[in-house]
Formats: sequence, structure tokens, C-alpha cells
Amino acid sequence: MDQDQPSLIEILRVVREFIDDSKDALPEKDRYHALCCSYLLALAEREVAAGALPGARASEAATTDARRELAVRVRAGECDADWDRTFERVLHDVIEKVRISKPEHLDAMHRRGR
Amino acid sequence: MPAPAETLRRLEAALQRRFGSGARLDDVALATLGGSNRTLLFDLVEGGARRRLVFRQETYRIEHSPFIAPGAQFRLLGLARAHGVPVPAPLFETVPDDGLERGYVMECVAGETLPRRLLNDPAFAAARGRFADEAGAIVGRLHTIAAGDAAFLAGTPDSIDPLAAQLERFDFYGEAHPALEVAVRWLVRNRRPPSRCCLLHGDIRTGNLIMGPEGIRALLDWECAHLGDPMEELGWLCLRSWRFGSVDAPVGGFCAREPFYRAYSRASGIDVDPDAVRWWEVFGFVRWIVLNVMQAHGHWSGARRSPAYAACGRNTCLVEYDLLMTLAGHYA
Repeated sequence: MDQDQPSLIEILRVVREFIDDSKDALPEKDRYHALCCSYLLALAEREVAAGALPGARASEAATTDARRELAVRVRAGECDADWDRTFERVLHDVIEKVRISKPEHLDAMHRRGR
Repeated sequence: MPAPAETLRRLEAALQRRFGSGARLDDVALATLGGSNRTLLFDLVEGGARRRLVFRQETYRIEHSPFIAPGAQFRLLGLARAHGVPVPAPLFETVPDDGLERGYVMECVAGETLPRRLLNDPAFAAARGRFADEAGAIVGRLHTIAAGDAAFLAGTPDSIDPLAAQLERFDFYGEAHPALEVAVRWLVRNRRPPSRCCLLHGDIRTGNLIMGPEGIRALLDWECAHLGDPMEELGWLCLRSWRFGSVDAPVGGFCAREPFYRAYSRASGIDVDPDAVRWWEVFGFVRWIVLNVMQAHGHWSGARRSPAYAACGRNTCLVEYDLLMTLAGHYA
């Protein structure tokens, strides 16, 4: 499933940068933990950059292309004749994105059973 | 941008040029990281007197920015105030000799802006009860200001064609969002005839109203002001994104539409067209998606990095979801 910006590696990096910038303001006892978090996130960044998720990368590119093509077609009015199906497809994709970002944002009709 | 200590030194010098060599700066605080402005709060000390003031500085300039220049914001504060719209009193604009970023100084209005506190804290119960009448009257008074009185905003893209302005920005960021395109297509196919044109604040929502237990104290953040259809402003205020959990109270999470519309019409003399407001709500979702994509772009392009801006990118789908649920008739 293709997500919006930022990328996974960018999310890892921004969290690490935030921790790096704020660790000096933390109480002594937490500073070491912050250094460890930073270390772990830097490790995870490298691992992702090295292609730890190769399958995800290939399918990501394909989804991005499909999404881009759909966006262009909808704007050009080429999906007007097939509006309801287009709408359902777009809603389905958005629901999948929300499941990653904030699942509790979904209405009860789209929540998965526990 | 000068270092913080240097900024403060120059700000104090700017104050001394305007208020006398005895003027001093004290108790400085950085308020929030706004869309394009840095907000410094400080006390201006003159002899025994002390006034809390705010310095709004433009710190982020980008291509296709949706924000108007600080000078225009400053002028609007004066204009709004002259028409009885509660805003912080504007004091002065910075000039190149000040050595500061473009910006202006205004009075600080004390109060609360945090949405969940305003919507849930018992301390604001009376203010909530008054919201429909008060907000309706304030927005209504604002919309009595003729477009001609703010002609300096006529060239702003949002004043010319608000939908085209959003798309131009969105295309600049280079992302593909079919949900946004579905809404844009719906807006185009259901386009409404041109209505009247007046001065719009452009960002009236829960979070930009500073309130006390007694009610609304001031309308903040004029950086999105432009000229346009008054129904655009009502649609933006009713956007589901500003209800902060109080989803059954469409007007900013505070109240139902009807009492707000009535108070608005009384103050403005403008009839509310509920269908037009709905159209502008769909437009509002499009605009809010574009603003989130912009914040994420500022982050990943390296222009302005922060965890908050990065999160905006992944929050875009939450707006898309509300938009599609609204278009499908599941959300009111």
C-alpha cells in the first residue's frame, strides 16, 4: 500500500533528529535512553536504505504509478461515466492509508473487528 | 534569519526607536510555530509601565505560498478593528532599518485557543453557550467590509480563482492524491454561479479564535485573508476537521448551523445559502489537503524540517477520509 509523504525512512530520521536535538534537555537518567533510541533509529534507517524491505519497494512504485494515473484520469473527467466505482476505489485506498496513520479515525462502518 | 539573541537585541532597538530610549524588552517567549510566521511574545517595559506584545515575523517564504505578506496582515488588523471586529491592536510594522525579518508588532490578547479545552472545559461553558450569536455577529460584521476597502488583496491567487489557486499549489508539490481529484471534479461539475465578493479572513476556525470564559476575545492569524464569496468563510468554519471530537456541532465543534447562520445574517444582511456552504465545505477539504501536503513538502524538501510537519503528510489521508465520507452523505 502506497502512503503519502514522508517515506518510512524519513519518519525514522525525523524522530531520531528530534531526539538528538532534545536529549540534552532531558534529565540525566533519560539521556542514555535517548542515545540508545537515536542509535536504534539510525540503525533502522540504514537497514531500510539497504533494502530490508525489497518487496515493499517494488510494489510501492507500482502503486504510486497507478495512483498517479488515476489522479490524472479523474481530473480530466475520464472517470465521470464510471463515477461510483471510481469513488469506491478511491475510498478503499484512503481507508487503507488511514489504517496506518490513525485507525481510530475511521467510522464504525470501516473499522475492523478486534 | 539572525540568531535568537541577535533578533531580540534588534527588536529592543526597534522598540526604542519607536517608544523612546528607555524602552526595554522582558519576559520573552516563543509562542508557536505557525504556518509561515514566528510568534514572539514579550513585555514592553516603559518606566514603571509594562505591556504584553506580540511580534509576528515571516520566517518561511516559498514559491506558491498560500500566505499573504506581513504588511498586508498588519493593514487588515487596522481595517477589521475599525469595523468592530475584535482583533489584537496593531502597533507597528518592521522596516528594513530594523534589521529584522518582515513582520509587525501588535498587542497580546490573553486567553485560550486550545480547541479541546474550549470545547470541553467547564470553565468555558458560558462562552460555548454564547458562541453561535457571538461568532455569527463577528463574522457578519467582517463581511460588511467591502472588497474595495481591501483592494490590496485583489491580486492574491485566492481572490482571483480560489480553486485554481489550490490546484496550482498542489501541482507544485508533485504528489498524486486521487481523493483530492474526486473532490475537485465534483466541485467543477457542480460549480456555483458567482456570488457577492467581500473581505474574507480566510482561516476562521477553532484554534484561531482566542477566547475567555466570557466569550470570544479576538480573531487571530490573518495570513490567509483574501477577497471572495462570504459562503467560503462559513464553509471553512463548518469543516469537520475543526470539530475536534464534537462532530455533531458543525460550527467549529461549538454549535448547530442554524443559530449561527441566523446571527450571521442579522449582522451582515447576507442570506446564508446552505447549499453554497456545502460546496465551500468540499472546497475547504481540498484546501486543507493542499495545506497538509504543503507542510509535508516543506519537511521532506528540507526547507523547514520538523516532526510536526512530517506528521502533516501522513495526516492528509484523515482529511481525505472525512471529505469522501461527506461527499458520500455519511457525514453532515
